[in-house]
Amino acid sequence: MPDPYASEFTETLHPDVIELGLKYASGDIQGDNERCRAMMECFSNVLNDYILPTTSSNNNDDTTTTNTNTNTKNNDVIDFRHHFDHQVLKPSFQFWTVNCRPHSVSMGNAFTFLKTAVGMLDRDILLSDAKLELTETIERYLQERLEYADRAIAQHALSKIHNGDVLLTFGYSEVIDVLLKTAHEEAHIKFYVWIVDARPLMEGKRLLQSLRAVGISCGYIQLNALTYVMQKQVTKVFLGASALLVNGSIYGQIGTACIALLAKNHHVPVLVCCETYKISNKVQLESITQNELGNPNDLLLLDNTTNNNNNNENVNNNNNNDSNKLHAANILYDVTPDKFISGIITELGIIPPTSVAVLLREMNMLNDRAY
Amino acid sequence: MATPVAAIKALLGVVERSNATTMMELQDELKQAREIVMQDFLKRQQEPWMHSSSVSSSSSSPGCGSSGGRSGARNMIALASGCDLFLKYATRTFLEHGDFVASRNQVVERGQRFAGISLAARDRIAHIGADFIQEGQTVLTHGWSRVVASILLKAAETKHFDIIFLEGRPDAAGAKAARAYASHESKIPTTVVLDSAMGYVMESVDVVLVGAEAVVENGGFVNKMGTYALATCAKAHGKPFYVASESYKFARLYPLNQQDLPVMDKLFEPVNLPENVRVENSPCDFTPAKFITLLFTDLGVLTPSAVSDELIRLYQ
Repeated sequence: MPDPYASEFTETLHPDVIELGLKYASGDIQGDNERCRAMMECFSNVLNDYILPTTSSNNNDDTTTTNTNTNTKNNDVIDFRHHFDHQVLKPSFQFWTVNCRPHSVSMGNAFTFLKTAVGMLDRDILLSDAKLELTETIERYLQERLEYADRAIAQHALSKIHNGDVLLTFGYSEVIDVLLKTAHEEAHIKFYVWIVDARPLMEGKRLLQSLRAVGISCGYIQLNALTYVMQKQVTKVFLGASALLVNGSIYGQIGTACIALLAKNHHVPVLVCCETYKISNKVQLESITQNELGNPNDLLLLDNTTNNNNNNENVNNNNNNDSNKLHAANILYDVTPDKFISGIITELGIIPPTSVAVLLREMNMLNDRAY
Repeated sequence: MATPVAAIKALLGVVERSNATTMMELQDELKQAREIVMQDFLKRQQEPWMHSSSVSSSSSSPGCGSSGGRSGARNMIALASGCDLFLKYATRTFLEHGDFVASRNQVVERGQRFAGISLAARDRIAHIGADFIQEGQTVLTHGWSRVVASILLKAAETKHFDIIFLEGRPDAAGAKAARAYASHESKIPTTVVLDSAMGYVMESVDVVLVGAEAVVENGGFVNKMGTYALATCAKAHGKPFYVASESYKFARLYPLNQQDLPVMDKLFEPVNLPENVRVENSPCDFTPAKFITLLFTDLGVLTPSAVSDELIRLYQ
């Protein structure tokens, strides 16, 4: 992996971009919604500090403009749209995805949206107006596609949670968190939640804390104890997703497919909650050809409390002879085929997995009309 | 007249008589009207003898006045979806036109044609569905359905085939339908078997064809109690299972299992049992998409997954 501190980045990129990139790499910012939100907010900040390059060289970012542009004193000659896209958006995104961590579908879609929004700006727009407009666009995107969408999903999903239900969920998902809290606090439904967790991320603890804080009764198990609860207790499974693929499959945190398969085998309905901005127009039949690998040391770590450096030494010291032969694959995602899924809850309603493609098409038509 | 068609006519009356001058006003009036229609419908279901005189039949069905029975009790979902569809259509027309008077006229005009459209829908279904019944086959059906009747009668014009009816407890809809077919000029040979004999007769059946109270978003459908059992039985025997339904019965519902259906009126039936025995007697069950071979609709022959596609298009 190239060095994120290399001068080619630190000299050209906004410090916020670098900071966020390091957070992506270290795992301080995780989760698809959070990563996407952080990215959009970062762009919003960078936009705020952005100034068009002029002959004077006192601007501290985005100075790598072409010489032809710096010769003129007239700002109008430099197309803001082109410059912002090529000097800010693209290098930042490239820095994050190439040097820090591969981008999620949510980030990819949001980035494409932002690029389109920049491209759609009026050619002669004043810089201040453009900033205002783009900031609003970013804000609106985060509000409509993430925040409101989560609430709408919660409302749709509420119709599927009844008194006495025993639900099961996996890891941490923002939308599931919102949904369960809404069901408890607003709809006053009495239900029990099994939170399934798995190494190495152990994100389920976060959901457990969040739900316990509002007084929802929860159970907490590891993935390998799944059959124990699934066999008789669970009435519905709610899962989050990293992306919806157009063939109806779900790209989700590793372990999702396992849960869906087992639930299907026990005839327990599996509902996947996912915002429509995570629809990907890709098709994946399995999770081998395209996936993301995490730090392999996370897998070899026996005690979760020790930090990475200690662990590194542990592995190297104890298994020095084996370390070359040992291959720990910390795979982060898997693909759940549509046949294991009963329904996908989006902000536009509950749809069968086979209709994701239709949703994508209809939404694109809507966007075309809007522009 | 089918219940949703009647409801749409009622909503149309609201538009025609309304003094509203803006889209919002009219929408509010329509929403109110929808609530009144639904509540009135529920109330009528609770009056035990309402049904005997209120069911009228359309001209294309073989004297089915008597066979309607309490089938109205199940039509709740279709009624709601018919109303929703009309509301959606009205809203969309207003949004597209912008001009209030012009769009109001268009809604009224289309609404007036709706009864005709729904009849034409049945004809279209009869036309495309009839091809799926072949010479010498045996068709098994359950309950009374006008659409199924129109398909069977259409097919009988050119082909010879047998029909087996399930008796259709507790309102004996199947037996009554068989009586209607027997007296009809098409002279289709009809047999009636007990509901519980569906497994027994399945081996001699070639095609299973049923109607629907409502077709739901996951591609499954809601129909007279026993349909789910029939569908699983047909699947186990590898027999094609066809559902015939007009597209105005497509409902924005997503039932996950039987408990997930909207609460429906229990069928009226006096049973002599001790008080401590609970009688569970729901009029409808839900059949999941995986048991359905094809759906015959006025939008064409659909696979179950295409239902959701059409619904997204209708309601988007």
